[in-house]
Amino acid sequence: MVPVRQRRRLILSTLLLAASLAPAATPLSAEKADALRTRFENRQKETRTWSAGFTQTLALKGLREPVVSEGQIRFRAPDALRIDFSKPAGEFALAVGDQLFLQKPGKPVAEKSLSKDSAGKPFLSLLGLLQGRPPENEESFEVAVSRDEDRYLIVLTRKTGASGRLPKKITNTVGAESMEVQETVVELPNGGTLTYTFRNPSRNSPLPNAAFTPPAGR
Amino acid sequence: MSVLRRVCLSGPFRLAVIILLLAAGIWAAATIRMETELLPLLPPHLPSVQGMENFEKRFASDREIMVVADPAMPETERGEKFAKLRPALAAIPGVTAVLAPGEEFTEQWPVLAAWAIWNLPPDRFATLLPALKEEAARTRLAEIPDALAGAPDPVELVKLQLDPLRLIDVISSGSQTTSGGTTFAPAFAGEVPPFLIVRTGTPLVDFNLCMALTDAIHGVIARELPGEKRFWLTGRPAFTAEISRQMRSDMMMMMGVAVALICVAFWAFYRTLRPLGWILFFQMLALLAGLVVARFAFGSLNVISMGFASILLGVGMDYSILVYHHFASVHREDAKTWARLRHGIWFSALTTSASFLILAFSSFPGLRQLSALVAAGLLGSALFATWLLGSVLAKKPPVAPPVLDRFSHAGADWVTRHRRFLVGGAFIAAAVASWFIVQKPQLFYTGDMSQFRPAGGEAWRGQEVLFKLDESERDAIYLLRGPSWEQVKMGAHQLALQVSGGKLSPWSYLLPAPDFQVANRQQWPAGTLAGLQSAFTAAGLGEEWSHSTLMLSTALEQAAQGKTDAFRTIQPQLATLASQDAEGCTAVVRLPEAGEHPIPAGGLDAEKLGGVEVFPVSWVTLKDELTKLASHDVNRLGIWMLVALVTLCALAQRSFRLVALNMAALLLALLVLAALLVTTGTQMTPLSLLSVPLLLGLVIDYSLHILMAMEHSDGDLRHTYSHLAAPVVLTGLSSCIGFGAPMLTKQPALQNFGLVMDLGIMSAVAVGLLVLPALHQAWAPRCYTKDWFYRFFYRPEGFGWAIYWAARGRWVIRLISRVFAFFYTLFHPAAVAVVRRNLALLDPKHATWWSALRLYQHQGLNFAEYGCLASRPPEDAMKLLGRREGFEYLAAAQAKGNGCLLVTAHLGFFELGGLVMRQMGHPIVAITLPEPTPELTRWRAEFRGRWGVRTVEVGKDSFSVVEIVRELRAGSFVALLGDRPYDENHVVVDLPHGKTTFATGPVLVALMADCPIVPVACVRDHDGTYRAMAMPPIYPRRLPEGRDATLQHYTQEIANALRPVLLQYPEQWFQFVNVVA
Repeated sequence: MVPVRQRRRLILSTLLLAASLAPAATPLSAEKADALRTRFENRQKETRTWSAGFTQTLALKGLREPVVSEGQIRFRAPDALRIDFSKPAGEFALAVGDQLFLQKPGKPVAEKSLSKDSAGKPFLSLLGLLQGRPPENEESFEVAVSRDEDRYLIVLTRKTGASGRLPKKITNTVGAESMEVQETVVELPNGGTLTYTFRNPSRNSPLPNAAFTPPAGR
Repeated sequence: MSVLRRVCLSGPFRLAVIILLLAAGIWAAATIRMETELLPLLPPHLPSVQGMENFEKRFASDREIMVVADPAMPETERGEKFAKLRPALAAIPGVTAVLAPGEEFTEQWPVLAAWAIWNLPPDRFATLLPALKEEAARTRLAEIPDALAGAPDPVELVKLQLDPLRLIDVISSGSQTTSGGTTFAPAFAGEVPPFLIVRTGTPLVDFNLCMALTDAIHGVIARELPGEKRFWLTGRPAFTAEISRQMRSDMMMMMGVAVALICVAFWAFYRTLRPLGWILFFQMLALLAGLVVARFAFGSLNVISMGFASILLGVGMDYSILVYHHFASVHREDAKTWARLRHGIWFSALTTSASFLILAFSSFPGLRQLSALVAAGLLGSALFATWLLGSVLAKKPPVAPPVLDRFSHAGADWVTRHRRFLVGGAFIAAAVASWFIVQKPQLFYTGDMSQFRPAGGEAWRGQEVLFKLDESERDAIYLLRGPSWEQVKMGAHQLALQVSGGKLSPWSYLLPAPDFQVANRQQWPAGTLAGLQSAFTAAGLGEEWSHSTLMLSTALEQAAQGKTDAFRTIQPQLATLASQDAEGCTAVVRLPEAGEHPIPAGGLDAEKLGGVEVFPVSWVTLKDELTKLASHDVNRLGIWMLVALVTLCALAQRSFRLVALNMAALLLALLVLAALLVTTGTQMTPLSLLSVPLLLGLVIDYSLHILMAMEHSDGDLRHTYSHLAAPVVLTGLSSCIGFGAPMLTKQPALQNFGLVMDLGIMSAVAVGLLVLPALHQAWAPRCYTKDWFYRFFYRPEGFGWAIYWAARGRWVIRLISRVFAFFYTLFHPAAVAVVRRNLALLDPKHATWWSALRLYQHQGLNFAEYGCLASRPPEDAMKLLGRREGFEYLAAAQAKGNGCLLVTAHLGFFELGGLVMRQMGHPIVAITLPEPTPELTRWRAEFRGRWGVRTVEVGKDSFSVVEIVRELRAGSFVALLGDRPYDENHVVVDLPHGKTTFATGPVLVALMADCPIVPVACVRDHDGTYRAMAMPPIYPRRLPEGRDATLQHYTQEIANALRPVLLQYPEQWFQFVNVVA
């Protein structure tokens, strides 16, 4: 996922409106899109915890096959996010406030800044999505919302003139009834895509505090 | 009138000169070049100046203008607008490319990396080679999927794609650079650029080309984005265009404002504008003269010199105003006054020009031009004011408004009444200023060179944005020059050790190292490129992954094969970092975070730099260097200036007192200036500090005029003010306008210079008009008998020295006396003026300075004769006698037995006359007044006594007369002087060209003693002998008209009898006090 810079609140937000990428998706009117945004934001404000399994697929130009990673993602309001990779095993990322802790297999824990370091950009975007305040804003992106059967598709397309370091396009898929985030596809600036697919989401279930405690001895 | 003078004064000649000057001036104005660069104004030998000049010449681009967006503009908006502007800018004729920063770099960065690798030390180069082997590459490439798994880092992703073999990390590891693998990552890749670079095919070296391009770019912006004002043009051509345009408009503005204000000031004083037209015309001629000098001597006008026009207008107006005031006054017909004024104007012009020309010896080239221009212009102003303006005003004399005289007199009276307060106030201000100078010198001076930067303009605003965007803004930049690249690299390393703890900017990798290249070529394994291609194919990675690495390897392979064009595509980038020519190898070296302190406190250790020259490209070091140099210059030039001024004043005034008064005025004016600086919170910069020598000249200018006027009017302040107060105030005002006009420009350096000069002029005028007259009155010239010279030599010891030196030879004492006479005449102009006035009673044509000199020499010879005669018998004195005339009258008088009054004047060597009388058997008594000291009276009486001449000292009482009558009745010859009465007993007698007073005492005594009066004289003849003369006796009788008529008649007879002798030997009539009745 390409890092994003801006933090303004998206007017239409990254509503968790399901939209089918199939040509049959029906675009929503501005009023309905607004209503959806509000509904999503309210839901996320009430979300104290959230966890799900995920599959991360990185498809870059020139790679023979995409690189697939898997793991578990856990969120605790207001600003804690933990990702444990099962593939590759032994890797995790923990974001608490502005601190970001990264552990690669066989290497010591590295501490970075969520907002200042490039490594924090993808987590910043995920965190924003789960908090209901995605960092992508209308200044840099055109937003199109459509409904495809039982899901909403929110497509953010980078404007001409926006920074070339922003993603070309972000497509979020959200369940129409559940308002759960099902998938996020990011088209990278240099070509390629980064896709997150979430499964078995669990909302407001208890999560161990230890999961969000910064590692000691770093 | 000589032929030359006639020609010069003729109308056709003047017209010819005017036409010639106009033509030359217009040609010069049309062809002179505007020098817009700032660095040529600064001393070229300073390391920082050399650094900046060479950096601009070699590495800064003169083919690019940057179009910078306001940082406050939202990124997307900026991107959209730039997208719109790019094609339109590319369509401008002459533009070859419109690029985003780093765009070229983005494509060529692998070749740059290859270059860096190629120039690594062989041992580090060797560490890279294993990573380039096919096997190692295959292993590394196979790890890529694993590296991509897990938490994604966008920057790492890009790096991995660009450099899958992590070669950059290998280069950076173990180096003293501040950043690692991101070194060559394009800074703005993918981002909306903050500025665009507009590049032309030909260099923009001419300011017309620069202006044409900037105008074209502005036109495009206005057309494509109407109303958009948030794009600024910067870069060297943009600065040139802006400064050129600004210079022209500033010059016109300064001249216009200066002329307008001067007109207003002139009208306020003289209530007329008609003659101003002529004055301004002649000033314009002087200006053109200066411009012609600039054109021939320099070929250009720099930023500092563009202020010369208004400065010259202000300062040169002085002379015209003085001339105008003279012709508007009642003294316009007085040839002597006009001659004295011309003399004063020329002297002022020479003094002020000399003070400006002193700047030609400063270390600042920018000031040399200004000094030459202003000096030439000032001399031109003086010439035209005295030569041309005078004749114009003489034909139709102006009339000064009476109010000027009233104000002048009122001002003079006020100053006279409050002189103690004024002097006291000036000294208090001076004392306070002195305290500040000693205790808080930082209040007066700042070396901050940001004063020189053209602030406020569009180009500067754009430059500031670029500085902020540049990551290396805080770097210290240097130019290093050495005989070889290896030495330069070594020098860079040593420099880093001394300044930044060894840290070098990553760009140092790009410095060439031919020796390393040769060694690395030996190490490069053949077939490396083919192996890498195979590894990438085996890994199944597409061109997106292999392109950069293969491009880098291709360049290295070609270099290893000896191909000279292996790095051809990056030559433009390399040219901005290093160059080689006949002077050696020059490289740009940057040290991170060292911008604030580019040079260590103790300076650089040159020995460790190994012969490499280091030139900082830094305003910080420039400030320090300039401060030191400016202080040294001020001391040096100030001393020269002072010596020149003291010499000029001494030559003009020839009086220790007047020179001391001039210097006192100078010191007070400078201290009052210091007080004004503190009060107004103004600090001097290196440029305005160098204005101090200028102020010295201007202050002396005013004080010279005022003192000369005070001397001429015998201290009469009213008279002085009526002549000078209005002109001095008006000239001060015009000078302030002239120097103040540059404050309206956008050049901070000129603004500060103008302000300091204005404050200096105000203090000069204030001290000159208010304090100096009071000082002059406190130290008024005194009678010559109070003079130290007189008091020192006119005493027994003085005569004793004459006797001593006479004993060494007559020629010795005569030589000494002539030398003393010369220097006395030279340095006592007041006394000389008195003597000349007295000589004018006899013959005005011969009342010259040379006549006065000869008079003093005769007096000196008298002194010498005293010395010679003291040690010889009286018979030797008789040998000095030459012609003897009229002695029969004396014999006849003696025969009658009644005694005789011998009346003479202070003429010749009258003491010898007494000796002659005695030797001829006439009993002689000399009547004298008391000398300054009883010892001297006694000494002189004893001296005469050796010759048999008795001395009777008389006073104001009547007993003296009784004694004289008794001597006469006893048959003595009584000798006395009649031409310098000491009391009210005198009458006015006629001389050929005036009147003087003679004592009536001789006539009174002769009447009482019933004896004749014989006028006598003993003068030095041309052959060196003495001529003793006795005129026919005068027999006073009481006239029927009464006592007064009797005294008048016979005293006049005495004067008439002596007149022929006085006329024949005027230079032996020793009258040192004013005897003009």
